[in-house]
Amino acid sequence: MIKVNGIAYSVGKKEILSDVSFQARPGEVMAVIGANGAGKSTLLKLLCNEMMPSAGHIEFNGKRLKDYPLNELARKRSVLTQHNTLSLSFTVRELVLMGRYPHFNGQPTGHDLQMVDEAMLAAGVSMMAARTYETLSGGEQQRVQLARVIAQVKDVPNGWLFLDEPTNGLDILHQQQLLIQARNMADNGFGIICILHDINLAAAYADQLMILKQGKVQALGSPKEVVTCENIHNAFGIKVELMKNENFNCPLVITTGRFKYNS
Amino acid sequence: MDIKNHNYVLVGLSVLLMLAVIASVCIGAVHIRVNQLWSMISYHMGLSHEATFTSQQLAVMLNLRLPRVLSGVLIGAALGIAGSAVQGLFRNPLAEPGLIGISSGATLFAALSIVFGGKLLSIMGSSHSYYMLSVASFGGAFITSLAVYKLAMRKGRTMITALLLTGIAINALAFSFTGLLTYISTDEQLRNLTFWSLGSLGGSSWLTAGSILPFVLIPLIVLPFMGKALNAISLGETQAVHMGFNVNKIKRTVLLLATMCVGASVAVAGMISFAGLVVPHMIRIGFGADNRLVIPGSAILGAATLTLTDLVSRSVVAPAELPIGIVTALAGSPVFIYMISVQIKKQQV
Repeated sequence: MIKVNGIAYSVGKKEILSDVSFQARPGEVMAVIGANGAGKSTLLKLLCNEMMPSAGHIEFNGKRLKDYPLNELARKRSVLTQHNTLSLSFTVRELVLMGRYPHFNGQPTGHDLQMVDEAMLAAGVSMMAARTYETLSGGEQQRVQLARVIAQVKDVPNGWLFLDEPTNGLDILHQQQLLIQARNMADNGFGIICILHDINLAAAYADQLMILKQGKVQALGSPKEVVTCENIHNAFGIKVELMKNENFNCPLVITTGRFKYNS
Repeated sequence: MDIKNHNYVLVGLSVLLMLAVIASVCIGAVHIRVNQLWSMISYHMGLSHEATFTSQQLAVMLNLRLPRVLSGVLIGAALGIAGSAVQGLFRNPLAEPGLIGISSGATLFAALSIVFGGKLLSIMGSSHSYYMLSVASFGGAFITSLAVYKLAMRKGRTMITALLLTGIAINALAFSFTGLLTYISTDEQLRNLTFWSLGSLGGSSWLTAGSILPFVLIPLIVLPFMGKALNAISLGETQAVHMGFNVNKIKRTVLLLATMCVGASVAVAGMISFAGLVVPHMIRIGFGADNRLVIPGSAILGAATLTLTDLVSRSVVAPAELPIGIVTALAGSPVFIYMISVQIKKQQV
């Protein structure tokens, strides 16, 4: 359970986030959407304990986030950041095994190696296990990083995954597969907080949807409650229409006509 | 490659080191055959009462060869392990202590202590000059590496241009100061300065080997435990923090230990360039980039390589000696140029 109580973050006089409160529960996918610069990544950095909020506090599994030692936190949640580079040449399997580093000293156990295999399967990278990371395409690299992040918490009861734009660089099939995977993990008790750009993708798979606008929570609730023409227009400054969607219990968002730039 | 194979590689490298040491203690102006070496060992361990060696051979072995080879092994291990650790920390295989100014920072401080240290010691009434040289080189190495790190790292990424330019600037600064020092130094100090800036194991004795032992031993014991953390850092500093590593503490530790190595080696043998660059590179080409292997492997291979290089530098123009720094630079620069061309292809420079 993650409880966020009135957090704010500012750099100098500029307030990047202000008065953000919400609760995220294990077993749920929470998606965060918003325009560029709305504070989504900053929010995720605060949730990862990478930065400290300038006001408010975050409770993680009943304890203040700032009171966790780094290695204990690493055994409870993993983070997929936006820009992943690798300075050395590792094979895919070696890289995914790094996700298990918080769990073993010296040598990985058979269990660790099994988690690596399962994570590679889940992220759909098993067939490239022996290839070196730098020979992969951008989308494949992103999936390998996802496998590493999954391996880190695969066997953790009520583990958490924080994903910052995980669908970046993925084709339409792998975007869906990634969110199906996230959905499955949530159904198995994981908590997932995910920043997304595609509103329809977010609405289709999330239990809770948050729209951030200029550092404030503009809307928060089930996708059905949050995805309205008015909310989307407010957050992104773009006119949309909603279309009934047979397969999901939330309407599809489509942009209407050509967008005229007038402000 | 799994841990079991890592161990095979390390055993193989150790065998190579043993052979290098045996070759190095046996070959020289006074030739010692391997069976005579064995006879010396068994005679002194009380296994045999028959000595097949001459007393001159024994004296050469004990007073010249052994301390020199021991120094070579220690310095080679120190340079290899420091190179691999610094490359891991800076996330770049080109970050070599010599190239980025750490060695010349150490050399400058060593030069300062050669020229001014005598006066200082006579004022203090102390005679631990070897330790003073070690401490001065270590201090110089540490200050420069700290400066380089501050200048070249932004948000957990090495600005490679900044790193190399800082290296050029510090190298130039250190050389010009060392040049200035030659004007106020005595003849003997001048010889020492030249010797230090080219690098040589010629001055090795049991005393010098002993004086660097602690500076080298501590990093050799501690740095191999940093392999996992440095692997994680290869993903990025933020990512390593998310994986539970205290990156700031790791940075400080690695930087401190690597500068201990560089400082110690400069204090005894002066500038030996490119050893810390080429050795880890050979391990990576041969056995992969996993720091859990690269770090201990670079220590052992570094020791073997420097021992053999020293053998070459004192054999090719015998009875004279080439400074070992010249030999390592001759062999190392082509490898360095090759590595740059590879990095340009990958568009990482």
